[in-house]
Amino acid sequence: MNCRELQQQLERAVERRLSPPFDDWRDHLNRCESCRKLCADHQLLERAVGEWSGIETAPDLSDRVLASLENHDNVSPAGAHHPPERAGLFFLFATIAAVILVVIVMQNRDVPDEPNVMVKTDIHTPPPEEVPEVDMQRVLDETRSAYESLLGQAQSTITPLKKAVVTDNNLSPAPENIEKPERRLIPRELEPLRTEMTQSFGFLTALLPETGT
Amino acid sequence: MTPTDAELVNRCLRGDRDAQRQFVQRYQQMMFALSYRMLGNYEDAEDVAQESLVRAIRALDRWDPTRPMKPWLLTITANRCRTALMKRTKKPPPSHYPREPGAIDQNPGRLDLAEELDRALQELQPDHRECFLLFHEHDLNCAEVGEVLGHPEGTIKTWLHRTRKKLAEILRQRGVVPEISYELP
Repeated sequence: MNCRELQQQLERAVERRLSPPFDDWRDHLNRCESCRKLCADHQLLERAVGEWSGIETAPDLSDRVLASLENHDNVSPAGAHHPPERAGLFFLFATIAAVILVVIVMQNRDVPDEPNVMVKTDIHTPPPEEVPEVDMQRVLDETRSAYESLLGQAQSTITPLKKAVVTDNNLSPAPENIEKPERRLIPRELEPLRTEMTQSFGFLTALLPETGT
Repeated sequence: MTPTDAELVNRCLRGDRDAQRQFVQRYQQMMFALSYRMLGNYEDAEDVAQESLVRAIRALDRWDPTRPMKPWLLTITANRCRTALMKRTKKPPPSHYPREPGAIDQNPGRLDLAEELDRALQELQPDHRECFLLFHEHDLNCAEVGEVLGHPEGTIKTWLHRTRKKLAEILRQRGVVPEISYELP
């Protein structure tokens, strides 16, 4: 006899509701504390189960059950008793009928022939803007004309200043024949203007007149 | 003379109210006891027992007369108990075993061991609790318990022994000391 055998015998005894053969196990129990505990637990449970007593039900439980049954029968048509499977069939047919009804209703609805979707077909795409061809000769002519005009205005502005400078240096009114020094001074005075014009209109440098002394 | 289950059922199916009352009185205590020990609450157990009895009587035409009535009724009750326990998870559980007047047979000489066992049972998972109750309180064998719970007999045996071991542990933790009654040399 070992612990495993004892445990199996005890379980079989429980399953068959038999008293365990403690006498046969005595030698083993004397030397095995674990199995002694197992047997003690078994006896404790058997005693507890044995002390379980009946539980009293409520005195009116049967009346309530019968009343509940009567209510059910009164609700049923002609007092018929419908077994659960018939009730299940009823709900099945009712569900199928409801589905069919919904399908019919959905099919008979006034549905527009075509879906209400707007298709915009008159989308206007403007043609690409035509870029006029540049007449470069004309641009050059106009630029040259503008430059000459600007140059003339500058000369007319600077001339009186030069006359004044000459007048201050000689402490006398400017002579009438100032044309020559004036012609020399004017291009020098225009040098900054020429530089500026070169920076702004470099491509027109070729058109500028030479500065002379 | 006491009618057999089959006779009683036949009369019930014909709508005999006296037979229905007899049927309820014959089985109400058994169904209520399982409900009470499964749910641990008197009111809930009454509701479940009532519902189980009503369902059973309405479904009597599905009972197989060649098989015993008791496991069939316990199956219905166990199913209702499981439903009630699932609903209970949404609510705070009731206090364990409130002392209802008349809930337990008055037995002035008895120890509290049975009550300790009831409390310990509430700490088990429902399947194992049902297994223990059906075997020990309702005297079903392991095969019948397996039919009620929908598990193989081998599984029921494993559950039964595991549950007994667990219950003994709980009782020890509660200070219930087992007494060794077999004689040792």
